[in-house]
Amino acid sequence: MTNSPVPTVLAMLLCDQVIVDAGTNKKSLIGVFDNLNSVGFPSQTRIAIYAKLTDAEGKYDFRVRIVHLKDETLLGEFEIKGAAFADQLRPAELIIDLPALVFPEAGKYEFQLYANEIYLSRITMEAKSIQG
Amino acid sequence: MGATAILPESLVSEPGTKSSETPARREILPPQEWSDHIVIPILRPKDAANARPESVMFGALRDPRLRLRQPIPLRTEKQGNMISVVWDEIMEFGCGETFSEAVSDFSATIAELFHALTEEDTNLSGELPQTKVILSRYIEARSR
Repeated sequence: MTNSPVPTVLAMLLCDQVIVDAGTNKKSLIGVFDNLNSVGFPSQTRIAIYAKLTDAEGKYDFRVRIVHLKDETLLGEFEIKGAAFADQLRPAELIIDLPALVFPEAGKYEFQLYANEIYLSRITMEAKSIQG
Repeated sequence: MGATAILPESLVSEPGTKSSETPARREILPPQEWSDHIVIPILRPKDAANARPESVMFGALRDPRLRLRQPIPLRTEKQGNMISVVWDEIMEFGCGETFSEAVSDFSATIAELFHALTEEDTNLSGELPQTKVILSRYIEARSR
């Protein structure tokens, strides 16, 4: 696993959910967003991450770290063990359906993606308080 | 001669916003009923810690003309409000207000350095030939 090529992230998006068509393997990203509005905090919501990769071949342990950017506090961490990729010349897609997350306050948050402890990419999200 | 495609304005829009009205429970990461068994939460609120690692393996090269042969080991430093990531072997660094911003800055710096050192008519002097050798162990141009 340590000799696997370093994957390159071509795209990384947050959305409500990713639907995979069983017949074609096509992915539909439902509700792509990068802001979260909430009438109050802490706020709980489900989030899916879609990442398109290239250069990946072999097995990887992926890790998603959710970071509160105000003070770079680690809010949560998730691991996907042993994801396998057949051919580094073919782009591949990674879908991570996270369990419901709680964001303690308004502010900017970051989802960082690691593969085999190698930092690959990040995407930020801003949580905002709105009137109910 | 290339053609220019003009996209209808409706194809370009602001990023989406998600709304949450679900009251949160007390836990940062409450027990969940997820269906995908391969996603494993490994941190609980009581373990909450600073997310900035003291060192990291860099794999976030953003230049589409380049690829990494192997990850680059970086050391993290904090000076005042600025975060730096440093590649000690050739003393290159990136900085920013957060760890990820520092890594992004490093990505741009290292790509620019690679291109500058590998231009065909570049005469290298001083430490630059050795820097080029080290860089080439970690980064290569993608074949077209």
